[in-house]
Amino acid sequence: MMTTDETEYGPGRTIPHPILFRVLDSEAEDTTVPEIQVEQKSEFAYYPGCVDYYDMEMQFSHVNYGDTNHGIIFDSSIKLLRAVGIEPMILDRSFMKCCGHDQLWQGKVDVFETMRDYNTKIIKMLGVKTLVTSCAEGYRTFKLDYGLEKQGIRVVHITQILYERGLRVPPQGENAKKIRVAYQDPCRSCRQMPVDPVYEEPRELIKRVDNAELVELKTFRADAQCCGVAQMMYCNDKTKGLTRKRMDEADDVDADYLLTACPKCLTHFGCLHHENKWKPGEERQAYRVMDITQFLAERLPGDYPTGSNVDPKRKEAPLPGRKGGW
Amino acid sequence: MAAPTTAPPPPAPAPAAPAVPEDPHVAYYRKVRQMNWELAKARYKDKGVKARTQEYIRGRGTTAIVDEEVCMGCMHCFDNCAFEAISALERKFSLPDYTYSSRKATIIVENCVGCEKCAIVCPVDAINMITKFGFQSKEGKVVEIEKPAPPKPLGPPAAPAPAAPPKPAAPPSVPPKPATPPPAPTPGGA
Repeated sequence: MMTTDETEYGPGRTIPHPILFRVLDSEAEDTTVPEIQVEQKSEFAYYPGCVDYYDMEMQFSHVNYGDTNHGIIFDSSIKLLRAVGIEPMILDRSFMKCCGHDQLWQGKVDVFETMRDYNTKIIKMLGVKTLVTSCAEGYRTFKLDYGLEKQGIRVVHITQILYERGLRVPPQGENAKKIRVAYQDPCRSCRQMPVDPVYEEPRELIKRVDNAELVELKTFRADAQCCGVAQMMYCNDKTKGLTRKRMDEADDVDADYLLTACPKCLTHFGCLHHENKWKPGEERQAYRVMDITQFLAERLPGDYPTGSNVDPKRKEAPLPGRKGGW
Repeated sequence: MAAPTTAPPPPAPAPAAPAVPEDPHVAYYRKVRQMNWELAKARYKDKGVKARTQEYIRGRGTTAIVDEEVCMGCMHCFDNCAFEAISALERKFSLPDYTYSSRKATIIVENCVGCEKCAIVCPVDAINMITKFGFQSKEGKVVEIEKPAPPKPLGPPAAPAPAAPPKPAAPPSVPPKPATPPPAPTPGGA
C-alpha cells in the first residue's frame, strides 16, 4: 500500500507523523561514521533506545505536564546491570541511530535499511559480544530484523540477562507493605517473537521481590491483549478504548503496580493514566504504571549510578492542560 | 508538539565533588546519561525539524475529492481522518418510481491537509487527490502557482499630485500613460 515512489502529489503516499518521527527519520540522512571515543570498552553493550525522546515528545511526561518518566529506564537498567556484575558499554545515541523499528513497521523500508546498515557497522566496529536492550521493540528489531544473531552477536532483553545472572533482590523488611503486581506482556518481545520469547524471565524476577505477589491479568502470555497502539502510528478513540480495557483488567485484579517491559506500552498506559488521574471523583486505576526495570531498581539499595533525569527544582506536577501552542 | 516549557536549563550534573575518588564507571555512566539527555533536548529545540514538519503537514497543496458515484458510504475515511475533514451527507436520489437516500462522504476542504490517508483506506477508490486552489502540478510535484508580479505604479504620480489636487482633469501633459484607461469608458456607453 505504501510506496516510496515519486508520485504526482509528492513523495509517495505517506501519513503525517508526530515530530518524534521527523526527529528520528532525520537521523538517517547523515550516515557518515563519526569519530567514536568510548571511554569504557566492554563486550557487553547496553542500548538505551529513544527513551529521552519520548520524554521530550509526550505531553504527560515528567518534563512536560505529567509524571510518566521514560528516562528512568536508562538509569534503572544501568543500576540493575551493575548489580549483577556487568559494567556495560553504553551505545550512546550521539553515535548510534534509532534502531528503526517504527520506520520498518510503518513501511519506510529504505530508512530502516539505512539505519540498520549504519548501526550494524558500528556495533561490529566496537566489538560487541552481547547487546542488552531494555526495550521490547529493540529486542525484536536487533534480534530478528538486523540478524545480529547470525553474525555472532548475542541480543538479549534485560530481563533475560538479569535472570540468567541471578539477580538477588534483598528482603524488603518486616514492615514492607504487601503489593500486588500485574505484568503486561509486550507484543514485540512475546507474541511477535517467533524465537526466544520473553515470557518467563520477567515473572521470575517479580517473584524474587519478597513482598510482591504476581497476579495475572485476564489475558496473559500468548493470549495477552495489546496495550492499544503500535509504533505510535495513530491514536484515536478506538485505540484508547483498547488501552482502557487493558487497564481495567488491572483494576479488576486489584493490582498496585502495572508493569511492562516496553517503553511504548508505558507511554500509552501513562497517557491514559494521566488523563484519568485528574478527573475528580474517579477512583479507577489507582495504581502505578512503570517499567519493570524501574520496579526492580527501586527495590535495590543504593542510588542510581547515572544520576537521574529528574529536574531537581521540580517538586510536583504542574496543573493539567495544554499551555500554549495548539 | 510537546513544547518543553517547564524545564529550566540543564540539571547541572555535578552536585558534589566528593573527597572519595569516584568510581570511573560511575563517572562514565553519569556523563553519558547527561549527554544523551541534553542531546534529546537539543534535537527537540531544533526549529528546523519543527518547521519541516509543519511544512510537511500543512504545505502539501493537495486536497481530497470524493467521487459520489463510487462512494458507498462505508465511512472508513471518516474513521481514519485525523483532522476531522470528512463528514457524512445523506444524498437524496429520485427515480421515476421512488425516491431514496444514500450516505456519501464529503470533504471539508478547510480542514483537509492533503495527507491522502482517506485515499489509502478507501476500499473502492472513490477518493482522489487534487491540487488546492493556488497550487498546480508541475513536473510531478505540487508547487505553488507563481503569483503575477505586482502591477507597477503607472507613470510618475508624485509630481502632479501635490501640485493640483482639486483639479482632476487638469494634467493632459502626461504622455507615458498607456491607452487602456481612456478607451474603456467610451465604448461602454454604446
